[in-house]
Parts: sequence; structure tokens; C-alpha cells
Amino acid sequence: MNADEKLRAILRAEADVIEPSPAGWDRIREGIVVRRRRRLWLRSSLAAATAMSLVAVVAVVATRDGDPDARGVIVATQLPRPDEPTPSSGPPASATQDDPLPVVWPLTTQRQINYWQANPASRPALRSPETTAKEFVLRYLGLSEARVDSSGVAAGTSFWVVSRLIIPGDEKTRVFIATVAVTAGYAGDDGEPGPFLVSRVESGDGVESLSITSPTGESPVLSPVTVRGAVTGVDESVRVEIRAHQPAGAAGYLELAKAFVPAGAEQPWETTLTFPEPPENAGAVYASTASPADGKLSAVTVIPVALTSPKMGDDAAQAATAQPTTGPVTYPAQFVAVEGGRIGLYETKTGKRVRYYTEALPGGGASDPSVYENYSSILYVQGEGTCASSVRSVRFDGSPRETLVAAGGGRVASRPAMSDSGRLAYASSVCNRADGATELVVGSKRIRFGTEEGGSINDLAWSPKGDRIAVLVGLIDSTEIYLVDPESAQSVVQGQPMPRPPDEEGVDCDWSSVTYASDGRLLAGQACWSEIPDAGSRGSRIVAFDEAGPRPFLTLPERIVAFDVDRSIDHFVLGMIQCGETCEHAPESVERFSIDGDPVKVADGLTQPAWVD
Amino acid sequence: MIEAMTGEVGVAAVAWTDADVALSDLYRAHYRSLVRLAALLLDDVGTSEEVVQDTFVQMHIGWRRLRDPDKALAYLRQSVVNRSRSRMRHRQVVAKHAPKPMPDAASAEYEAIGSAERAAVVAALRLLPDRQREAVVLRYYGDLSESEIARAMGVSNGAVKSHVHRGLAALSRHLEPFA
Repeated sequence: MNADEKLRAILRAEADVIEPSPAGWDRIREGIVVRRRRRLWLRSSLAAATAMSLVAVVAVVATRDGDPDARGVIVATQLPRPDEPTPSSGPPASATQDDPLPVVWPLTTQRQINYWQANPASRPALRSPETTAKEFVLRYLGLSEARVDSSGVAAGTSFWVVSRLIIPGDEKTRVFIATVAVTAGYAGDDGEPGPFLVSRVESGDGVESLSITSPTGESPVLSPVTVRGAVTGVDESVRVEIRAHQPAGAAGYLELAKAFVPAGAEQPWETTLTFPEPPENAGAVYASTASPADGKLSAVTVIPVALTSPKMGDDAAQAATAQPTTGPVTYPAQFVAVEGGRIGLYETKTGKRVRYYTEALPGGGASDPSVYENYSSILYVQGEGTCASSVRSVRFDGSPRETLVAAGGGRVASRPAMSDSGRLAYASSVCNRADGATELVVGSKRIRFGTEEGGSINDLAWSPKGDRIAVLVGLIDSTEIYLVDPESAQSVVQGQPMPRPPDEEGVDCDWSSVTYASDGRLLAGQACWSEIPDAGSRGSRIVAFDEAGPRPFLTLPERIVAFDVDRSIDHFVLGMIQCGETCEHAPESVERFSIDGDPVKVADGLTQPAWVD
Repeated sequence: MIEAMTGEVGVAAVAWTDADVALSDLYRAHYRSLVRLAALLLDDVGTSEEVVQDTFVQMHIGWRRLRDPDKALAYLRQSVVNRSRSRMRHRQVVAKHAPKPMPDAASAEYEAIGSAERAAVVAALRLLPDRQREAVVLRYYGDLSESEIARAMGVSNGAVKSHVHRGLAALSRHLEPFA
């Protein structure tokens, strides 16, 4: 008897003595009857649930949240002339009209400047340093709550603009100093100077300062680029970005890459960023820190750079940097995820953990992380024992933490999401009914989903404008997406769920996640299975909703059923399951995808990934 | 028993609309072998029976969507493997049922091989990674082909080869001393 035969005999001997209970068929029949009754009940209760949710949203009492006008102002301060002016030198003699100028914002080529001088009404703000500063603070630094009351201009070819941000109730002030430059060559035909352009930004609040030591902006920057700098003051995390200007001088900028790096007085910071081919050569290296007190922008430094990539054909730049490149990739450098009940920060390229943000605590651990972009923090849920959880926030520098929703009240909080304007939404379930209906909580408003017998909010997403919340609701045998108006607390589409794209024959798909693209389109992940019971995965896809309705946006391989899909500007990170049955077990790994590329495994043992972008 | 697992007894002749009759036929032909298969993947009979019963219920609910009744047994087998895997993973988290000991009855083959060797091999089998254990059991107990194993496990043929090879390598250490 060889080894194969012996193994075969052993397995048969082990199994063949087993005689199943004769009651097996009866139990199967009982199960079939229960399922039939459940399905019949579900059909009627789903109709009732729709009516119930409509009643519930009408009954919500709308209360106004905090007055946004009272949250912060910028006041004028003295405007010292710099001891060492750093005027913009204008375009070099050999430059073409489309070569990037050493300008941070907003016009970055001579062609754009020429156009403005011929059409100054196209951007009237650039007629004065004051209005340029206001626009810059609002549009580039993103301080929508700030207001520049006044500023001053010193004669000459460069100006300091100093703005001080004062938060009511916060004695600390934040000072931003932007060198707004104009040269004679940029003066308009009517004799008025202009346009005024921001050529460099340095800032500090009197306690700390932040600087970028490399790159310097003197030579083109090629991906991947190592950015180095220093910070004085308390130890904290520095947010580093590579920004590119929008094509043809359009407003705003593109964030090509971003990373958070720990830093301190004794610890110069350094990170390497990989960025895709930019639409224009003109770009900037941006670094900022957030105030430990409130998480708001504390210090910022921006230097203009010329961006280049292998596709742009700048051989000289490539030779000068002599850095190997693997071609453009556009996934964010880092993501957050859950690992063994703890929230962590991970490198996308290697899957290496940068740090944990939460400890290993009893009571269910931490889950449901989402990045609160405006304040560079992470929202998450902390389990606090049986049927108790809180919604907390932790900054990327690791402290201090806040509890935004305390545990208690016999309810469990989950799936927190913060809007860009700082409004928190989360799901709240009754503790003692594990499968009871769930409420969406936005400020003082509560919107009920599901029924007494079933219903859970599986995912939430705010629209970029903050005027919609997409709510993914899990029912007993189906999943639906509802759009909710957070102001009226009513379903946007008369209580009806969002339509589904037609399924392939024999394939049944469930919604698995919701997110919004930066252009305002709702994107939803679908996990698909064969309709044949337990016959295995049929892959996943991303569906985009636009005016024409739902349409497939990205299809994933059949072997993959993806949950917790998060989208960056062009790419995705996925909690991935190789499943064939019910996919009820935990995701096995995190993979990243591009629209054109194959999935690449990033790390095992992680769940609920979310891009840091 | 082995033939019952790999055969397609009476399935093709069952009418689409008569799920009860179809399930009854499948039950008579394959229930016992499927429970035994699950018992090798799990480690107690009670859970194995539940897994197979749940699989039959699911099959009944979705019978109308079954486009190819000839594949009903393959779907059942795949479901049993997946459900067994899922139970194994969740056992430490949600222990709904205390494990029941396996029946202790000897067979002729058992007597021929010897209790020490059988115990060592079975113990080693329990310690294999899920997919290696599944591949070995389907190959050496179910006598399934490589493609059938691949379908049941939801992996490629190459992955089946790899899992079987690694599983055998681990078990061979316990087989050789008795050879």
C-alpha cells in the first residue's frame, strides 16, 4: 500500500463510520418552510418599511446647526516690508510662453499672464495684493471660514501680505505670510500694475515654523520625489503634497500625491512621493501642520516647482535627477485601515504599517475609519463593551483624541462620516435588538431606515457640496441606496432607493459601499454572486450615477468580491474577499486597483481601508 | 459512497418546477456522503450535518434559478466546502455548538492501518491550512478530479495542485513511519 492508497484508506475509515441523523430530511424541510414564510413576510414588510420611512422623515424636527459665520475671521495686521525681498524675476529670456514661472498661484505661465493683461476682468482679484491674498487664502489654502479684512502693500516689486487667523475662543493666532510679487514686466497697458501673483508662502504662529529644504524649486521635479524639511515647536505630523495647476489656468489645483510624516524639533521630516503625469508643468510642493488645539491649519509652506514626468519627455530633467522610475502611478501614498481591532496608517506601495492610532482594547476594538480631510484627522468607532460604542477622532499626528459621540443610551454608533464643512453623520442602532431598524443621525436630526425586523446602515458618504448623504441600507435579503437631504432630513427621491443597473443574467448583485467622486458623481460598489445558491463569486463592479442614471464604471475580476471600496481621484483601494459562499467572513486582504490596471495586493489581514487623499 | 459523491444520480431528469422532488432525490443519493465530507473538513458531526442541511435549504430556495440541474451536485459540494470553511473560521468567534466527538467504530481498513497511524494522520490533517485540508479531502476522500476540486474550492487548477502537494508533504511525515 503506497502513501496515496494509505491516505485514501485512512480518510475513508475516518469518515465512513459516520452515520448522519435520520432526522436530516425533516430539518431541511423545516428550514425550507421557515425561509418561505420569511420571504412572504419580507415582501409585505418592505412595502410597509417604505411608508414608515416616509412618515419618519416628515416627523423630524429640523434644528439649525452652529452658525458658520461665527467660526473664524482673518483680521489685518501690520504689513512689514521684507528685509530680503524675493521678487519674482519674470520669465527668463529663453523661456517659452508656456514654461512654468516661479509662481505658486494663480497664473503660472507667461501666456496666462498675457491673457490676463489683455482681459483683467477675467480675474479682477489679481489687480491688488489684498484681493489676491483673499482669493489665495480661500481657494488655495482652503480656509473658507477665514476673511481677510485688510492688508497692506509696500512699494517695490514684491510685497508681504500678512494675515492673522483668529478663532473665537482660541487665543492662539495663525499667521500666514505670502510674498505677492509683481514686476514691471507684468504691468498692464493701462499703467496699473498687475497681475499680482503669489510666489512663495511661509507661515507660522509665533511658536512653530515649517520649512521645505528640498526640493528648492530651482530644478524640475520628477516623480518619485523626496521632500525634506524641518519644523520647530511641538512634535507633530506634517502633511506633504505635490500640487499641480489645473490646465489652462483654471481655478483650483490638483493634488497629485499626499503623505503624512511625523516630525519634531529634533526630527527633520522626509518622505518620498510618487505622482502621476501632471496636466501642466507648473506645480508646487506644499507642507502644512495642524494645530494640536483644534486640528485647523497651523503652519503652511509652499514653494513653486516645475513638475515633469517621463511621459513629458524632459530627458534633461530625468538625467539631472537620476532617479529610477516605474512610470506614472496615481494611487495615494497612504491609507488607513483596521488591523486586529486597531486603526493604523499604511504605505500603499509596500503595505507597511506606519503607525497605529488606537490601542488594543477590550470591548470590540476600533473600526469604521474614515479620513476627515479638512482637519487631517481620522474618524472611527471605538467598541466599548457589549452593545456600546463611541465615535472618536484622532489626528494624524496621533493626538489629542476627541470623543464626538459618547457611548450609551442603549444604542450602538457606527459608520461615522464627516462632511467637508464639518458636519458629522453616523448610524445608530438599538442595542437590544441586533437586527432592529437603524437611524441615520445628522446633528439633531434622525432618519429611520429598515424595519423592526431588519435593517442596517452599511455605509455613508457625504456629497462634496455637503447637500446630500448617500446611505447604503442593508435589509434582510437586499441592499438599497437612499439619498438624503441633510437639511430637510428627507429622502431626495421621495423615499425611493436609487435605481440599479441591469444585472447580467444569472448574476445577483448587492450594494457594498458608497462614495462620492470629486466631480459630485455618486459611486457605489456592487458585490456580485451567481444566483445559484452558494455557487461562488461573480466579481464586483463600481457603478457611477449621473444624469443618465446608473452605469458600470469599473468591473473587477470574477474571483473578487470587494467591500469597503474607497476611491481616490482615479483609483481604488479595496477590502477584498475570495469568496464563493456567503462572503460573511472577514476580508482577506487589501488590494489596490486602477481603472486600467490589474489588482495588486497591498497587505493581508486589513479591513475597511480608506485612502488618505 | 464514493460513487454517490461523484455520480449525478437522477438529477437531470428532475423537472425545474419540482424542487421538492429534486431535493429529495439529491438527499437520498448524496446527503450521507456530503455529511462525511464536511466531517473531514470540520471536526464534529453535528456541525457537519447543519452545514449540509443549510446547503440543501439554500438549494431549494434558489432551485428556480438553477439553469443547469446537472450541476446541482457540484453546487452542493461547493457550498459544503465553502460553508465548512466559513464555520472553521468563525468557530473561535461564534461557538454555537460544542463539538461532538466522532463516532468510534472500527472498519476493516482501519484495522489494517492501525490506530496509531490513523490518529497521527487525522491529527495532522486537522492542522493543515484550510485550503490544503480541503484539497486533500476532496482528492483522496471525494476522488474528485483536479478541475472538480478547483470548482468546489473556487480556485484555479494550479492552485489545487499546489494545495494538494503541500498538504501531502505535511501528511507524509506521519505516513512514512508506518510504511
